[in-house]
Amino acid sequence: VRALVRRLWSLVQRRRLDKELADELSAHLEYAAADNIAKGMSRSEAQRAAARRFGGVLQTTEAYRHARGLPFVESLWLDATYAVRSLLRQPAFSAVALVVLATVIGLNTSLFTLTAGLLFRPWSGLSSPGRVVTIVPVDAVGRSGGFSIVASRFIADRAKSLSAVSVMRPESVDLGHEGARGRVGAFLVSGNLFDVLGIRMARGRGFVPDEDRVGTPRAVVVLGYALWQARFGASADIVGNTIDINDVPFTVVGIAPEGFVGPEPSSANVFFPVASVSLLRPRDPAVASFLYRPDDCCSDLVGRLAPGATRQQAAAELDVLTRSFQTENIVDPQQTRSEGWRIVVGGTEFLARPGRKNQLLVLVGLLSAGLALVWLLACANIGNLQIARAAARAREIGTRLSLGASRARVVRQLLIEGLILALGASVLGIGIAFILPKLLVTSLAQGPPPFSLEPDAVVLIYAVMLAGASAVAFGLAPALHATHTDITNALRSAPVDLNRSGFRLRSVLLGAQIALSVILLVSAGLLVRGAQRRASFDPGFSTDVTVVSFQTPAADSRTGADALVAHLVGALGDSQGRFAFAAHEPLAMSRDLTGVQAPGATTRSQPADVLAISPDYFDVLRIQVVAGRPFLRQESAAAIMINESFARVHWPNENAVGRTLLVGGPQGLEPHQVVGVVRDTYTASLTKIAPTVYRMTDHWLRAPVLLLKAGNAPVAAVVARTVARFDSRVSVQSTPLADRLEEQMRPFRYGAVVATTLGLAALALATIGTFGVFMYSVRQRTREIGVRIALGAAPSAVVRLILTSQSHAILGGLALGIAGAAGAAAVLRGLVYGIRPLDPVAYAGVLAVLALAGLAASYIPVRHASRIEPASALRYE
Amino acid sequence: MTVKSDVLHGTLDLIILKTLDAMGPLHGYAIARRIEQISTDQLAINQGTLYPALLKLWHRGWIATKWGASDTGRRVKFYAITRRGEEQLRTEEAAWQRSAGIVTRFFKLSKAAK
Repeated sequence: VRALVRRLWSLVQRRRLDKELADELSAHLEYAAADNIAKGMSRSEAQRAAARRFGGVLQTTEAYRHARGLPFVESLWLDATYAVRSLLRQPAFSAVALVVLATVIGLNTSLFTLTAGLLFRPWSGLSSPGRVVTIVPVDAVGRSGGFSIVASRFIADRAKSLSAVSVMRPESVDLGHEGARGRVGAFLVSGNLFDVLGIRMARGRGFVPDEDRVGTPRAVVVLGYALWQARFGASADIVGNTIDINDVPFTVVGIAPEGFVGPEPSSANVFFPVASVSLLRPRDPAVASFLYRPDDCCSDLVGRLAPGATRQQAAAELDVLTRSFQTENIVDPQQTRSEGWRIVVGGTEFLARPGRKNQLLVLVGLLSAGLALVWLLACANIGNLQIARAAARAREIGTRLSLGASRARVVRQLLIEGLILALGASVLGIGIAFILPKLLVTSLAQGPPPFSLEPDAVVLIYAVMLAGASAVAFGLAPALHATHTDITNALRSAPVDLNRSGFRLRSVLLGAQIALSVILLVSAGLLVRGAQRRASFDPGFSTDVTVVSFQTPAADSRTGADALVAHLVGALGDSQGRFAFAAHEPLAMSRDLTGVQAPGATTRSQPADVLAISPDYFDVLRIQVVAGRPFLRQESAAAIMINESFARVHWPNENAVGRTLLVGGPQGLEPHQVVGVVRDTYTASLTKIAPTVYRMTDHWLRAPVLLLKAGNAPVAAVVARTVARFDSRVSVQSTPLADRLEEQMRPFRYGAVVATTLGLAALALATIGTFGVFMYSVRQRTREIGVRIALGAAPSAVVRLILTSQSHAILGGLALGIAGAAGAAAVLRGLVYGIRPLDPVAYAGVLAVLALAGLAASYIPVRHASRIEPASALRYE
Repeated sequence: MTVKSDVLHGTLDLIILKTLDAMGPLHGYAIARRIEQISTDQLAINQGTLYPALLKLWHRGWIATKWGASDTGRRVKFYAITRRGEEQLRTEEAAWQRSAGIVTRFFKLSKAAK
């Protein structure tokens, strides 16, 4: 150990120790010479004899150094400093390579961080997160469901494999009062939630079991951290005070810790005990069903595994428990779930939830594939530049080889240069990974995600390994090639030989670059075209409509909602197709699902979208009635209309008009009559058309939205006045439907922008690469071209010479690229809706862009070649 | 010209330690001269090889170094044996004596057999 420490110390002290050694040796020689003089030699003879006696001073110094330090580390250090110097000598190359690599590594590392977060990171703030599980029933086709509150209590009381179980049910509430009122996301949770998750509150406390007793609700609330920061200025005084929620004063008992947002990305969250739902929605009949009915649906369960229990044990036990709960409690066999469901017990990682995996993973997979290609492309490109550089360094390398450096030593030196470049780039890249994922998620989702997006040790290791892989990918082949030179040739001043093997390598790299960028560009082109088609696509309804939504003080007041509608109708007069009401605004992604069934069907009722509307709805949105008739002013309560999809699902190839359909209502399934069929529209969401039933109503469960034909400013003013007169506490908000549509299109646009950026990056890289190859080929052949011109070759012949030199690579690359792109397109088509794999516009566009880029990249080198002066070219050496 | 035998393999360390033990602190040239004198110039060491050997001994903590002025006033580096070096020297010396004794006995044996 002492030896190691002394050796390490001597590494640091290298310079001083070298001087000391020199002193010591010269003292030695002086003494020896003095002794020799004393023996009677002349001065010069004495010195020579002393030196002879001593042996080689240089060899001794070398041996001494070798024994002194750690030779491997030392030479590595020397290589590294040499590499830095050599990189600094070529600032342009180093800067380009650094920027390209940093971007590529940064993007890849960011995606890795994001993927790791989605796949492996549990909710923030949990204690022993591995023991916290989510419990989800999944049916035979993989759709996930939930539990009723009654079932959750049944399970919590009996499950032995779980030490505690808690409910988390999404809800939304109005926070604050007049003026500063806003809708925020909320969760109804069991009183023990924060204990189950093992969360340390940022301020105050979590709920206690007494605050969650159905029948004796308490008005208590826990605020999410982000909401507390944004709405209450992070004031510590808020704990213990009351705030208005749905116009009921609730006492704030605690603040959730930073990062804990529940299962979904959100920046505005509050938590309530389940029991307090009867305070939040005092007049909503659905509350009783939610709290007391065993067949209510769709609350999420989370639990903590009992000591020693595994997830498999928990899943098996819960399966049995849930089945026995159903047989005990549900009389109507029609209401029970279909066969084939099972309970999945998983972690709290975002993608661990069943049913969530597909879409996001597809996106992540596509992005990874794209980024991996860009990474390869960048490496190929830098490798290409390296070879060009190696040609310029041929003399330096030749000198080192001829002075006795082994080939392995020189290759190591060159690889270390690459590694230093890549490591520098990965430091920058990690910086990008600290910023980009958060920026991306918060701008695309509604707020911070439930998991952490900080790069952790695993991400850092990934970035460093990526740097290492890059260094090998772009450095190894050029290094091997550069050291494979004939020393005598390299030392001669002119690069005489054309270096055929190196040239072939460059051509292969050029071909690979072209192929990769064709694949990326075509993929990007297809995605862009897909997005364009979406952007210009017809949602099926007129967006020339203003949507007015109302927030009533007690959002669930039935009489309030009906009275409001009556007032508005009174003020606006006869509609005549100018306005309509609907339970949900178009594109709001909110929907009512109700069970429907064709009479006589043997299967159980299926869920379908049911939208309550007023008769003029289809007029205002200009939705075409394709069969039967529209709703009349005075319509029987049994009349319904359906959309084409619904008709197709239930009565394929038959006339749906006049059919009877059982639709779930307050008294169970009731028969309704189909009076008309309307065109399919994307009213619920842009991603798919849901089979929908339209029901006419004049009894609104909550305030409906008012749809006004646009260009009706006086009417909008009338609405505002009427509402103010009706109840000053009702707030009115109007948005053009076109804006809503625009908002919904944004993700598709983002996708296209990302794809285009990737494609353009690929194109830029390929252009730089092409330019490099041509420039190199012209430089190499300057003398040959000079001779040709001197012998009378026309400039056009020279141009042809240069262009054909790379034609194999270019044509081969194009062919490979188009084949690869066709494959990629087939894959894309399976994954992204609305892509045509053989879209001629995309392919033609890409080829045109490539041709232009190719021309641009070869223009300067070719011009350079055709203007070579024979005389100066021959003197070039 | 006398034929000089090579330094016995691995014994240079021992020789240096013994020299320092006997003579007290010395500088590099003095050590080289001393070894040559004692071996009456029959041990040919390339004087330069002395220095890596000294370094190795220093690494192991068997000798200490100190810069000082020589008798001629020149600044030189003195080497001195440490306590650990003395212990090492005693063990090595004993081991050497033992093995030399064994070899010697073998030589005697072969004479008797003749």
